[in-house]
Amino acid sequence: MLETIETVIKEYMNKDDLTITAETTFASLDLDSLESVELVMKIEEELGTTIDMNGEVNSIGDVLALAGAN
Amino acid sequence: MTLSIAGTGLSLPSRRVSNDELAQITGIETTDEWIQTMTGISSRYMITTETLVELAEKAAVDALADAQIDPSDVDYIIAATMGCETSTPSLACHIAEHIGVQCPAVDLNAACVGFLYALDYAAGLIQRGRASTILIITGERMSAHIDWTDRRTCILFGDGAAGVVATAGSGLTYLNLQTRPDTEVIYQYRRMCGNSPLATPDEETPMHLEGQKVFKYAVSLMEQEITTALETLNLQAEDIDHYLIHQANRRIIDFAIERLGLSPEKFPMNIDQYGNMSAVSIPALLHEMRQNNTIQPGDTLLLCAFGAGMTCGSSVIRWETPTR
Repeated sequence: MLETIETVIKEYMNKDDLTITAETTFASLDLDSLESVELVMKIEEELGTTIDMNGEVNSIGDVLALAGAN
Repeated sequence: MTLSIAGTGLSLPSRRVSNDELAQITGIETTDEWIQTMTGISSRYMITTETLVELAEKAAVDALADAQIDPSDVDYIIAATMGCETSTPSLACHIAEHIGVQCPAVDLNAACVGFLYALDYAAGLIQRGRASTILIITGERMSAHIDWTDRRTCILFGDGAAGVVATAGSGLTYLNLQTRPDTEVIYQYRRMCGNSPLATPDEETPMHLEGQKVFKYAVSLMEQEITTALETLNLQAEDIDHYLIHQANRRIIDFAIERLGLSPEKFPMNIDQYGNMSAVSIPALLHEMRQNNTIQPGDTLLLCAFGAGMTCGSSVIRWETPTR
């Protein structure tokens, strides 16, 4: 799942040289709070799942936990 | 036979407040650049000495004048609002008194989707022969609902009133409303215990908004509503001349346009000047487009709104009213 997420992020940010881990935060990617949601929605589309955003989603670890919960 | 829109009106407070002024007046930590980047808003109008009732009354008079309809011909008034200065009488009753009519007058509250709900009620009243000329006025005093120390929320909203005159016709070809119950995403608690000797004392909380969740809801619902409307009517995206979307945040609209693969030129915007005026935003857009002759007879409009509740809806209208 992390590999897919990394591909989506690279495409969204148009950057090939990114390494994404569960610890990667949206802030470290220089994404604002709404860009983070845009990214989550693109990840949802790619994974074919719904990610319920209860509370703030700040890191890829948060996304993995929420995606895994569905 | 459903309804057509015969005229529009818009009324704004006299005080326009830029982002820089807002930061200065409230003392919140923000900048014009941040607000514009996150929302697309550069200013909003805010009530000072006038009242929402007065703004709504003026919007009503202007809509009737635009429609060239005498107030005495109005046989129903629907006001969509989250509340005016008086809990009772309703905003609609104030308007009835101002224009001097004795027809039924009622308020509805569907937050930002209020205009579409009012259209639905009006279409039903016309279809069952209950009314033929309906004044629909939206009015919001958002500055009274929000927490002026919450820098993420207080920058978003503006005050105003706008409306239309709906008459029997065949302009309205589609209308869908739905609710996705999630009542805490946009939430305001109003003190209701009064001085009741039996009620448990309670406290007001100003409007709170979970920005990320609202963004996700709004984009998803907008995509779903537009896709379903087009499929139901067997229309292609290019068959729509203008998409009038609730002006909540420019970023929501831009992202939904990108996901739907639509042409941004067909999405008029006024959020930069007015901020989010809740139920007022779509009729305000309609009014501006009518004033500058952007809408022509024969044009097809798709209206879409989403708001607290969560509520959402969409409507397709074939514009029949001649250009003035």
